[in-house]
Amino acid sequence: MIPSQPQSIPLPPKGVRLFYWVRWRTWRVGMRALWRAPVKLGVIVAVWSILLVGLYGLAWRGIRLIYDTAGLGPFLMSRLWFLFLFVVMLMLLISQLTSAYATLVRAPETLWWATLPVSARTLGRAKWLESSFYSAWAVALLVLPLLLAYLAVLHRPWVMAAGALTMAMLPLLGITTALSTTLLLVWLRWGGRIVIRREVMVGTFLAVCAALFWTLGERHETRHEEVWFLAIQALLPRMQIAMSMWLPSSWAATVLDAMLNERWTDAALYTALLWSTTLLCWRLFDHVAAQLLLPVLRRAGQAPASSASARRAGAPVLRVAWWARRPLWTLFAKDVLLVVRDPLQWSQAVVFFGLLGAYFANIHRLTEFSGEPSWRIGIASLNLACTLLVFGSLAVRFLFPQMSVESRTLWLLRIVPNGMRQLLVSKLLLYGTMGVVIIEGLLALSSTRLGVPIVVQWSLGGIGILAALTIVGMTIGFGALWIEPGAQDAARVVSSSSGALVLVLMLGYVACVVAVLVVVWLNAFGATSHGPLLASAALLGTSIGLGVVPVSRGLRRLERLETTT
Amino acid sequence: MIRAVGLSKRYGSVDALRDFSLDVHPGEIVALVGPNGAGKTTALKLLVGLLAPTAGSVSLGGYDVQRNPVEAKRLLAFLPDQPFLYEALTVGECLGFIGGMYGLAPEVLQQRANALLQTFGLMERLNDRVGELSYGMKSRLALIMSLLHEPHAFLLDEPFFGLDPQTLRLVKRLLMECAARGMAIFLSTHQLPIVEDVAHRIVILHQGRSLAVGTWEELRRLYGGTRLEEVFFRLTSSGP
Repeated sequence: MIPSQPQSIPLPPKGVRLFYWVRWRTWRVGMRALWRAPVKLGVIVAVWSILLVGLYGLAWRGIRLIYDTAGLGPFLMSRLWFLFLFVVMLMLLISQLTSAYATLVRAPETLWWATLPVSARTLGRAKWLESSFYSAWAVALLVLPLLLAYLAVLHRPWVMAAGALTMAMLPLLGITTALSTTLLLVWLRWGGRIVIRREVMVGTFLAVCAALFWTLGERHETRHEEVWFLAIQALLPRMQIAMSMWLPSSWAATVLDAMLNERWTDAALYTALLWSTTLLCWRLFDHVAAQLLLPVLRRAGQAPASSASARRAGAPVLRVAWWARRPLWTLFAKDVLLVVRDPLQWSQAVVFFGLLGAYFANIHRLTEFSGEPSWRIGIASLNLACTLLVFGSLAVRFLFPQMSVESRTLWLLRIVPNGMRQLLVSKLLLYGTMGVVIIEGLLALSSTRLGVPIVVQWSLGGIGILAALTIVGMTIGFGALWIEPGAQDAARVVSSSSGALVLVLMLGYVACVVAVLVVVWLNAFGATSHGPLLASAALLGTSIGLGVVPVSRGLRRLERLETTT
Repeated sequence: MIRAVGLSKRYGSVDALRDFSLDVHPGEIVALVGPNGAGKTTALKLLVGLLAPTAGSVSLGGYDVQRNPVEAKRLLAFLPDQPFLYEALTVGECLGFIGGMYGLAPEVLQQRANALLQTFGLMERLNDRVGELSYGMKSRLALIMSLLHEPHAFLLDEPFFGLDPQTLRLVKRLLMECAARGMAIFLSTHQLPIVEDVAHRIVILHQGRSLAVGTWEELRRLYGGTRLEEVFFRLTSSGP
């Protein structure tokens, strides 16, 4: 045998940069794959562009409207930035908690790195930066169009956005993510052993939110002012929390305000405060990670399933065995058990739909603003769109990757006649039923509370059923069509280019539903035309296209997968 | 080289490992065998510092794994039963990454990588993505990645699982060559005939307890039988 010629090995950089070299290489492979799929790339770029430009346009109009309010505009606008950055800070805190937990503790890569001669400090730094990126990119995309719109309204050059991001946003991001990750590590080190049942956590959260909706609802008073003025009146006192000078978001808002009004001393002082706090928080995190990261990883790695929970998990299979006589029902039962035993799935669904339920249950209090039917039907339609958006997001997150994650067990179904068809049908049956029940239940609650006429209730109900079934068909069908055999991590499947495309399609479909609702609403309270009929026909066609085609193509792909692998 | 003293690990009310002591000297291959759930993976994870012991201590080359993890890990290589590999990277990039993690000089990395790639027949796949490799090739790549920094102690969890006969023989030969060069090797496996072939000493673990430690000859003398399988079943009392 002729020995192979030696070849050169790519030489990576040293230190923390080594980790990012791996990320860069991995990302480059994904981008190249995307580049080879021009349609997918085109759709993603187009939709993101439309979203960002649309957000910019909306922000520009909104900011302009507020800014032009005589005597109050500039003041109100600067105060709204305090509130906005406060909300951004809270969002970052929460998203960093989950992102840092996934990146630092749950990722198999971290455990592997822990067996290499890398100090906990280096590991902590690398993972903190990575998780901060994951938790912040969407926030950055949200902030940028708003900032640009604000600059445009004030007739300031867009280049100031770079200054605002460096002086205000970047340190705010650094402080928030460093503090959040530090808190997470401290909690996992000393508090992680306090086990609270997930059902109790979810239930308590929902109860607290429902109580908040109830207590923060408007009081029964006769009002004659404009709706937006009432909203501002209600908003201003609640802004006090966001304007507390102890909050980094307040400092960032002050920097922004000072910069745009050319108060450079204020801007410099608050920037110095922000950056020095960032360095302090980073040092704190660095020290905490050096001390706690390895103990936390060890604790996270020592949680095998107890024999008791294994017994609990095994029991229902025996109980359902009597009714799981046909293959289809067996598959159905399997999916039910998978949902019930995956707390991530059901807890997210319960939290999101529970919040919507709590909100809808209190929504009748909003009708004080206006008793007009147009207002009520408009809100009911918005509620349907909102419910569909939540359902669609959860479907993309959990239904789309299901087939890929289950692909390792597909050999079981290959030996069963019609196994793949039954697998798809059972999934459509289960999740379609769940979708219809949830959406119709919430819709009934919302419509009853708002006192919507029965004809409108039936119409909205019909659209809800159609949309639920379409979303289920779309996510399961595309999941089968773009199956990633051997995938182990559902989150990775969702974050792939295919996942992004399905998300975009789902958003586009919900936008179609909203467009139809708007056409119907305009027709009911404005000019009469054939608009509603045409819009409904278009929606039906779109639903059939997006719901049925992916399922049939996905089935064909699965059947080919059967014969070729 | 590898020293465990009175190592215990408790998960709630379950003792996964009880009072486990072990010395693996340079140039020695020690095999850990035991039925499923005996505590083999727990023992290995404790030895490499992925788990903290409830009691006892582990040192590698004189460095305590808990107190001086970086120094200890510089000396060791660990091959888990399901090794983590970056599927999107090429074989060459994976080796570059691991070389960078251990701070190998470029020329040293190049030289060692070429030698190992030749040995394991992966030179032709250098520019292929890891995701495109077969299971056996991935296992070979994981072995190359483990050996690239020339560790003093090598711990392997189920290293023979899923390998074809050629690779199996290659891995056996490689382990014996590594041991001959002075590496301390500690592996867990269910492949008892291979253990008879390669291991200098055998540890039989059952329900978290070390039931027997010794060379194959010593075990045969003490417990009787012509094959390790017989001794194994006799001690663990769970044979057919």
